[in-house]
Amino acid sequence: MPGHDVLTEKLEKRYGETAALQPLDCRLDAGSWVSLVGPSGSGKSTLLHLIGAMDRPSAGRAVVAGTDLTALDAGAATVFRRGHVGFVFQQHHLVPYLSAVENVMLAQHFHSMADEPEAAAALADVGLAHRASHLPSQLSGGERQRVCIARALVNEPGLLLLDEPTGNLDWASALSVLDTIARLHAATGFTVVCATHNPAVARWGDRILRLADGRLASDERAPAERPRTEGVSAASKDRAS
Amino acid sequence: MLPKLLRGALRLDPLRLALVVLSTAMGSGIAGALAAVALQIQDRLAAELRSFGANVVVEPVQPAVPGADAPAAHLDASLLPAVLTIFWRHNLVGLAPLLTAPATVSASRGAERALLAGVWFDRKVPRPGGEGELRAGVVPLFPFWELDGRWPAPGDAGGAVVGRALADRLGIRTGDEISLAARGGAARVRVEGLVRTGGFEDEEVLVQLEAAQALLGEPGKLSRALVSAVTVPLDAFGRRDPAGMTPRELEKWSCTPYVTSVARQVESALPGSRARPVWSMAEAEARVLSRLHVLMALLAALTLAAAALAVSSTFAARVLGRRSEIALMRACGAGGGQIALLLGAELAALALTGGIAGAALARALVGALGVAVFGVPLAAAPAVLPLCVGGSLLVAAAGAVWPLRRALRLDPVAELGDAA
Amino acid sequence: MTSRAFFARWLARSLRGTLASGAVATASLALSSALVFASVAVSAGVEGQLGRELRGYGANLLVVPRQAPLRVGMATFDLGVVAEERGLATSDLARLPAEWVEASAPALLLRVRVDGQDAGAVGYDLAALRGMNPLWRIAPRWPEGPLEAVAGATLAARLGLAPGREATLAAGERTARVAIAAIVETGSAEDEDLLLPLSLAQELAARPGEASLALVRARLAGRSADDAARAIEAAVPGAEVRTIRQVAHAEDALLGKVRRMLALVTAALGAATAFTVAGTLGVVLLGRRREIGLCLALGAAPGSLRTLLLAEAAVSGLAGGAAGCVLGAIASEAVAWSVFGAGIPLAVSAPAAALATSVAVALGASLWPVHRAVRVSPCDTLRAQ
Repeated sequence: MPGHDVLTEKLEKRYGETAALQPLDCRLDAGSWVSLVGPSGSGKSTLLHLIGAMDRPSAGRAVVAGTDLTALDAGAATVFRRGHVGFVFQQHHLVPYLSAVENVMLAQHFHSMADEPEAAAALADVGLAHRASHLPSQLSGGERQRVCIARALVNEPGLLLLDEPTGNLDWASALSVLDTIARLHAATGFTVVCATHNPAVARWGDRILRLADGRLASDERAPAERPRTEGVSAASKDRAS
Repeated sequence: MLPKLLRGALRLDPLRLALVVLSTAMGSGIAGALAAVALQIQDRLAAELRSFGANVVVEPVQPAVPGADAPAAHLDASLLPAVLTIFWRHNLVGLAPLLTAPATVSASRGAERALLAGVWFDRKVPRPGGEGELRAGVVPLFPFWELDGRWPAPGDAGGAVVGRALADRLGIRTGDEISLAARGGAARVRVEGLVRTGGFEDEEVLVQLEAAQALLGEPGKLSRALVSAVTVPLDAFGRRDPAGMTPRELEKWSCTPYVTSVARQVESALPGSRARPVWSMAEAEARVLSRLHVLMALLAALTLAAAALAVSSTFAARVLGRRSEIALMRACGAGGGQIALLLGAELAALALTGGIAGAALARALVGALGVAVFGVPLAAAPAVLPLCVGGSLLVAAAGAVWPLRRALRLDPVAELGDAA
Repeated sequence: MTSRAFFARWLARSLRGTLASGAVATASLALSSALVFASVAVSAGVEGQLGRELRGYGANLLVVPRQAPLRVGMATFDLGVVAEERGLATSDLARLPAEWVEASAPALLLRVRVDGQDAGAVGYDLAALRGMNPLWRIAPRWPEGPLEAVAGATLAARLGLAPGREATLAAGERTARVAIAAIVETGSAEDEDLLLPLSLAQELAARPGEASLALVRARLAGRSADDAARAIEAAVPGAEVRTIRQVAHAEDALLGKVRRMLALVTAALGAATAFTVAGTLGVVLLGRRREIGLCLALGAAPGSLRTLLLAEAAVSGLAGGAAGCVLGAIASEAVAWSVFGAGIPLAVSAPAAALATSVAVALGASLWPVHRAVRVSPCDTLRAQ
């Protein structure tokens, strides 16, 4: 499935007096890999939630693959999310009592119908064929995150949203997660939006949007080469856990 | 710092806290109410069982000789109020003097020899010392008699109530006048009502005691008196013959409201009388009461146990639900004692509030239970408040200790990592 | 794999995964349903058992010939000769409907001269009388032979009768010699009578096979005395059945009060445990907020999550209810044995009520917390650490 394009028009989110996201206009191309960077509270997660149909904006609109998300009611947003969006979070949110393959099947179940071979294939795609029947507590952090990727992609979404996908991982595990995403991205062409405050991770994208205080601070193209070592800048040292 | 933390914790989720308080209140309230009811149910049921009728019968020492013309032994009606001076006078709930003799009853459809009973219908007898009044007579003593018409008023010597079976045979209806003839004279009385009891009274004519005394020519006389007293169930000691008791035992026996000791006191209050317990009544009462007492005690115990487990599980769940918070506090360097103090203070506040609400609930419940079951509100003992509060605290602590100890032993890193 | 099959797998895993935290809720459900079981079982059994104890109050129905003067207790007084003495056939009285009648004692009233003095006598089937009045004080022993009699205490005092003495009875020209086996003190009318074996009384009165009346102890637990009266009237020709109101109605009132009390206690217990279960389930659900948020983020419809959580509640309700039935059966047997010294028959209503309560409490208590939990915004729960 080709990736979804994303369009925001004066997209805004306020919590009472606090503005989490100031009116934002931007366009993300289908099949691109966009990194969102910025300190905590700069609005990265808020933007992800809004374009993932998880939250409703206070004003403005977000259009994904031609669908105006602001026009969807709660039920329609759920249906849209199922079919078009895959999420991976910083904390590997796996259901603790389900095995890896069952966690993947859960997403299939919500989407349409659980299909164990297909779920197992999705796990194989992320290199976890041998860990399919393990419970999350028996997996390493990187493995858990790769299960999350398999779960996010099993329904072949056009848009993959990553919220600090490597935030809890050591660099070696982070690399394997990023490699997995890059391989599947190259193979399938879904759009990736990845929020991170690790510059090394951000440079895996082909475009970097920098947010500060809910505002777009800069929009630059990333260098073509993807860094395979950490510590390319001082900023990575003070990243929070 | 502690009060601030505590306030914060309490403010965080008021709804859930309300639920904890509410379930504590319900548990302690219901257990407290049932315990309070169980404690007084025996007295209440003993009073209830008095509706089966009198449990002491007083007769003259020399019983009346039937059919003999010689003046029969009688009790003196004027001495009757002396019954209300006995030690257990507050236990007396019914008193009904009777004068019974055969009479000829003539009505429109014929005449028949039947029993004439002079009774008190419903009279208020002042208790000595201005301690209120006793509702005496057959009407309060036999609440289940069914009357068609009305009872003659206390001063109405010309009113009578006729038993249903006799009335049917003689064609007597309410409002008729009938003639009564006995050995002392004859009189016409007005039938105020017809009574159905299922017993001997269905064959009798009931008139005011004074009217019967005049008809039979025995002024101021009684042939027997029925006494109803609230008593404690007979046990082995109560059944013993007081004649064989040591003075100490006799004193204990007299100071216990057994039906036997009440009868003995009634007997000594009325010269020339012999008072006997109605044994089947006393024994049946003893059995029924002891059964119900055990039943209530067991129910109360079951409820207490259930309430205790329920409340302690509520508190256990509360601690279990805060494991990650505890781990976080540990990670921040809080000592086990500090955490226990914080959580303990919070749980104590919850249990205290729950216990106080529970005591209020128990009071209301005891009253409501009394109204629903007995038609009169029961009073909750003042001990209910400390019982409910103390019980809640104890039980909450019992529920919280184990999960708290477990939570404190957890490795904070693993717990946080798992939760995060 | 079908949706239903995966749902079942999910439910099974979820139940196993939340076993520890769910155990507290299930345990309190078990406890509450055990209590409901015990109180329903005990309430069902208590009336029968208490009815047995109430037997001590004696007869609650009186069977007499229709339209005939009742002379029980009046034998003491000479009411003159009744022109037409009517009676009931003892053979009819032997066939009272067993469904209603716990015990019955036919009686024949007559006037006799005891050693030359007038007295009232009642002929009874003495074994039946004893069954009817198990709590009478009779000393030294119940009579056994056909020529043994019991004297009421008042009568014995008047005539100087004592156990072991003999007395000559005369009725008209017929005479008999009886031994006084015992003195009875009942506190009521029998104290004035001489109690004879029924056959002897029939012989003396020259009324073979007849009785003047029968005392009946009817089983009333929950039923109307008037219904019992009608059933017996239909069975005995020419009989009228009177309800001894003082006994029958007092009994009814007492049983009603006990029944009401137990019902209230049951209801109060149910309410108390419902709150507790609600609290416990609320805490359990609180611990699963993140999981619920995750499923919502993955695109789960709130309805399917609600179904899962309510299905879990129903399962733990059933499990708690089943455990409660076992606990409750033990508790109610223990109560029955310690209160009445006898087991109570197992009423179908008890397990039904226990299971129904448990499931209803579990579902009822979960409904609102589940509703709240699946309505939260997924990003809130995912963000909240």
